[in-house]
Amino acid sequence: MQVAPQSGLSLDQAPPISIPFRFFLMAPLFGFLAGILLFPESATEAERIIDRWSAQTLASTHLITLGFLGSVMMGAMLQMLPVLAGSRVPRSGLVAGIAFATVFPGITGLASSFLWPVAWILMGSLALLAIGLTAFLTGAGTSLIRAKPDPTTTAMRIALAGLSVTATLGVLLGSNHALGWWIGSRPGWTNTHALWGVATWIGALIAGVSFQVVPMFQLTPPYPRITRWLVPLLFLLVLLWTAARALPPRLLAGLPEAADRILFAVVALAAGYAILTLRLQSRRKRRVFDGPMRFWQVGLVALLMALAALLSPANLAHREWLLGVLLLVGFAVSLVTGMLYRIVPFLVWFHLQSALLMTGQDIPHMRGIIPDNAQRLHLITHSVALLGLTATAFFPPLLVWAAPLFSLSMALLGWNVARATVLYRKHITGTEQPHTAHP
Amino acid sequence: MSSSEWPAAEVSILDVSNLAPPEPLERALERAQSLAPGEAFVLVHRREPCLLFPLLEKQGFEYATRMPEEGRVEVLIRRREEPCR
Repeated sequence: MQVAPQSGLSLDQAPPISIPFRFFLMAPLFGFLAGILLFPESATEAERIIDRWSAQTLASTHLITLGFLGSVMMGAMLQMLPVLAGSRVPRSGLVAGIAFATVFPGITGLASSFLWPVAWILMGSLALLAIGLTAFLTGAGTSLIRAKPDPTTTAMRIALAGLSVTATLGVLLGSNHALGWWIGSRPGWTNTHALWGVATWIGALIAGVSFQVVPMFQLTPPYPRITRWLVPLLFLLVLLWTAARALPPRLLAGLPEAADRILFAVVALAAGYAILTLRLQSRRKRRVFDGPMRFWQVGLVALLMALAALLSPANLAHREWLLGVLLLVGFAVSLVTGMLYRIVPFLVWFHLQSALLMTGQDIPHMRGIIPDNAQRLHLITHSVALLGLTATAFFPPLLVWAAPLFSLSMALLGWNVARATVLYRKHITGTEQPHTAHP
Repeated sequence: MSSSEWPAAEVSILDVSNLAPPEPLERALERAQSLAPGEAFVLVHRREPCLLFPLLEKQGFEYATRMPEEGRVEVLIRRREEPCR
């Protein structure tokens, strides 16, 4: 990463800390709600809830993907693109304002529409989401277009393309649901929507960021050069898979089998990435407790388990629930939480540094902004919740414990982020005297 | 400040290349803040510390970077003689 001082991060150009933090504070709230929606009233209701098409599962899935993962992504990219890509987001205040104002009501409306379907609320929510995501994609996309191409920026471009496709399919499926017109097989198109979301949006983004973050923060060896083809190859495979499923079988014999084989290639690629990253991390130089790294380890192991579940020929009664839990709560939420525990302390520290440098005030060490013990407690809670939700696939009544635990884990995350915010404000307001002081 | 002004060996060196974030940034800033006007030191790191530069600029330091070999970046940091306006 080479960023020329004049063109990259300038303190006057970096967005104020309130921009990413409004997203970071809202994200755990949506995660918390996702857990609450899954609370079963009884052990027998649990079996019904964990069906893939149940209202609760659909609502929770979108609260986690758009509400939690999407919010953190938006907050992080708006602030970190200048750092990681050396290119600022133009009008970031406006972009963030539009995104925040539309995406949050949109997600709430969408989730409620699964539970209490009202056509105009669903259509209105989809419209709000479309506006907010478009604003974000335009801002982030503009920044990325101007950025120097490297494995990370390439992966981010693919991730944003993946988000666009996922969102478009989502709007189509949602308007299907609301207006009662059908574009085809709903399970089929939902699977396409899900794969684009998990692989080309979430997977590509996490991989791309990890190429920089893992060696930088954990003092591991760098990723091997061949990994710069990982995300482009993933994108190509998902495109081919989509085409193989969309084309009529009479066009080319053996298309359905081709789709399965392509999916297998995607699985192999993902497994390769997970194993490589775990190995790099095992060769790290620093051996002290590192919360973010532990979350990453949990997430990568969950990814490997998900891939195994996907390929397993065993007749799993609740395979889709298992996949959803392992991929979303296990892989995506764990890794994004790990990233949040890096970004939040860094941003608080960096903004305090730039605001207080001339005043001689003490600035807290970055490691103390979200204390290790707080991260450890969250890690344990999250891991137990994940185990519980996973085991629910084999013993549904466990949901009675697992869902509240997941909500608790999200509450702990929210608490940690809120504390960091309060710490920032306490330090900042401690210096508010200049224009009232007597000369 | 150009790299032709790169001083001889008397300037002290702070090697942060084996530290993980945030320590390189924190140590570099601490060291910089202890400089007298006109005094300098060389920061050695394994990558360009781009997050450091805007903080240095704002605090009235000048700097120049050079990369003598792959994986080694040297940043000469000097506190300006005149006070910052």
